[in-house]
Amino acid sequence: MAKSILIVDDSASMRQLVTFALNDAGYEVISAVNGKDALTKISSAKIDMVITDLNMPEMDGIEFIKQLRCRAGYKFTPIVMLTTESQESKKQEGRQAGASGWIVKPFTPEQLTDIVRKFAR
Amino acid sequence: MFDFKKLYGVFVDDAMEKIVELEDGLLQLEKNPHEREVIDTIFRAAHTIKGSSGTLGLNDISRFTHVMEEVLDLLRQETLVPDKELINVLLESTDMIKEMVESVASETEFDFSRCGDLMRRMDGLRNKGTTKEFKIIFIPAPDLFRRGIDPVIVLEDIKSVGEIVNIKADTDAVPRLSEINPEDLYVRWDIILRTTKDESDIRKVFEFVEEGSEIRIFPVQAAEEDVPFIGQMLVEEGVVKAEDVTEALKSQKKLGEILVDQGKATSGEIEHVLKKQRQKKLDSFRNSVSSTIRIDLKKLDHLINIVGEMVITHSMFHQALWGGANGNGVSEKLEVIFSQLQRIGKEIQESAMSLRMLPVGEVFHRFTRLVRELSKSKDKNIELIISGEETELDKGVLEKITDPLVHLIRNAIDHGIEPPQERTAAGKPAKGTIHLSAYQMGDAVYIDIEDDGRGLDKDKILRKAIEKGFISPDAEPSSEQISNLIFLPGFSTADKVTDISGRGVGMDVVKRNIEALNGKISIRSELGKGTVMSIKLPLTLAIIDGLTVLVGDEIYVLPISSVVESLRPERKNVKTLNEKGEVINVRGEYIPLLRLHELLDVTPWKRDPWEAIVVVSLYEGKKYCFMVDDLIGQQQVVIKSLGTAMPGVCDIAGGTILGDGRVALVLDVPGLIETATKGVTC
Repeated sequence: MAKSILIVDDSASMRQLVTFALNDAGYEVISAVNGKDALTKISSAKIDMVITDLNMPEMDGIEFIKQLRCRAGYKFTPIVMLTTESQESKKQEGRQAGASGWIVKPFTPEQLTDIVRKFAR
Repeated sequence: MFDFKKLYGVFVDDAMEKIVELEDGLLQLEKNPHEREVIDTIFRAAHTIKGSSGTLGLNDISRFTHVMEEVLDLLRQETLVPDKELINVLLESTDMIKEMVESVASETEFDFSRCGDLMRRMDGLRNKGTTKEFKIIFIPAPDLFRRGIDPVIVLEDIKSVGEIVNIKADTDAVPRLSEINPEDLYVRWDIILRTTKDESDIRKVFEFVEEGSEIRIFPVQAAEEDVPFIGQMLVEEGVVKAEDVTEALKSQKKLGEILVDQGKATSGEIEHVLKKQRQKKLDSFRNSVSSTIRIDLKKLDHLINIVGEMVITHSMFHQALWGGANGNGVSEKLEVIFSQLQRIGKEIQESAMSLRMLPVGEVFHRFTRLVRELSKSKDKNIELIISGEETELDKGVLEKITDPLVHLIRNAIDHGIEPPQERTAAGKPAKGTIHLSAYQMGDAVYIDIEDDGRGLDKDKILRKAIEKGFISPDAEPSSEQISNLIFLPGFSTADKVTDISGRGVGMDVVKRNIEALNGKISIRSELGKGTVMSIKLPLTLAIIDGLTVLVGDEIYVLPISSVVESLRPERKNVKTLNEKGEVINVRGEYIPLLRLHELLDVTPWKRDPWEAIVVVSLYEGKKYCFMVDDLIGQQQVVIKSLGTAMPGVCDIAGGTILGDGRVALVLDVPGLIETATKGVTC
């Protein structure tokens, strides 16, 4: 069965890019626009891996990661944050919240699938 | 368009010359791995072939030599060392180039796909030169699982950087079951990674787990690092630049050139001497077994271990004797200690003997060159296959077996393997094969020299033997006996004497040398199929199985290897024949009787053979009976050399100390028989 990946980002183009790239690589992709939206989405589907942006309205990435780690069944799920070079402190925060890794924006589809392949095996 | 084909002839001549340079250079390099000049010559030769073939549009040759040139370049930079494997691959590649050039000469098609394997192997060598080994100690953060990271991801990722040579999970930090938090990670890993990349590349793999984990990466030193050249060290120490060294090396003149410049010698004279030097280098492997010995550290450690045990047993002994206040149980304790000492003694003996053992490969590998050189000079195409090079042989045996082996291999090249045309005509592959193998079986080491040549022509041998009067014309010897005729002194079937062999001296000497080592040589041969010379050697010279016998008041040891049987003859079976002297009829066979007491000049207890015992020995295919007073038994004896004080003794192999402390002489059976039958003292 195809692994399902959840992409959480407020930018529609980013969600689309990730969805295309991962669909191409044979993954099922579910998208959410922010942390709150994502938390509702995970209740209805089993997610194998999460990719999340950090700066989002309503619920940002850090808070989302913290809450997700407390949800039953998501204690060990790989979570990859989308960061930019300048967000070193955010990266640190995300890691403490329970993120597994990060991808620095901008990234190529190959870089993305490499990371997904690594974590969602 | 200009037709390059007009130039092919010139190219072929030139390339063939370079190929010879390549071949000679590689063989020299095998012997002297650090000869800068040789490496440069080889490199230039390959470079020239590549260049000229490329210019003429011979792309296959150019492509192939390009790969070779790259390997040679790494050799020049000392990134690669000219080890056996490298030399072999390069020699094979040289052969391949030769074939390609030959196909240019004969205007035939060459199937380039045949080069694929060699090119891959050369690529493999190239990569080997640049790989390093790193040790990685990975102590992951305990909360890795809770961060959604499976450490297996990291371990898998490391494989993308290089090859994991060794990986070990260290579970020392895992607490007791009751204290385990199943969500925590306690295991750590020790990894040895072989890679062409450097430390920062390896570190990248650990990017996501770095936080909270401990990752130590350090290069592993190659086990045996050669002492670098002075030039290399000068560069490393920052004294001079690498270019300066290269420049300086280029301006360095060869001794010969200097002498020519000074008018002290002509270049012709120098060339002549150089030729001689090359020949000397070729011959030098005869003296290749040095008087020092390199010992595997494990063997030494083992010996030291046992010696340590002995020390402990000694103190146990001390305690058993004087430690206990009362005498209770002392004898049992002593018994235990005694058996322990016995075991240790035996192990020390074995261990010490093993220090003398050397792998036969040390000698075998020199033969590759011999075969190469000789087959070239004979215009034969012969491959030497070596197996069992790790088989160990006593150093003394190894030293003495080299010459006979050289002789046998020369024989195989000269007489055994046919010229290519003859082979092809006989439906055999044009390339002949000599298989040199060694293996151990029981107490003996066997060395086989097997060729797929024409085999022994038994009819011819028989004719020759009759012609020379070695056997009577009406004799009907068995096939094996015929084969063994070639071991007779003065026997040679070669129609003409060549520079390699056929001088009629040889096989008898080979046989004698091997027998002097308590060894045996046998021949199996099939006409048209090939010949196998099989040498059986004792594991060591110093310890033999001996039959202890009594003659008068003296105890002597006869090597078991030369004893066939022993018996007490009946009176009626002891006869005196006119032409043979005293003989004993053993089951219908008349065997000459030699009285040991006469040969050794001692006063015996018994003078009549039917009261004494005779020991039947075999020498050069003939049996002899030695008369002794009594048999004592069979035991292993350690032979001690008589030293140089008695150089003229040939019937005594040495002395030994028996279990009761008495000294006994070990008899040399061939020497005894020679003395007795020919009346010569050597």
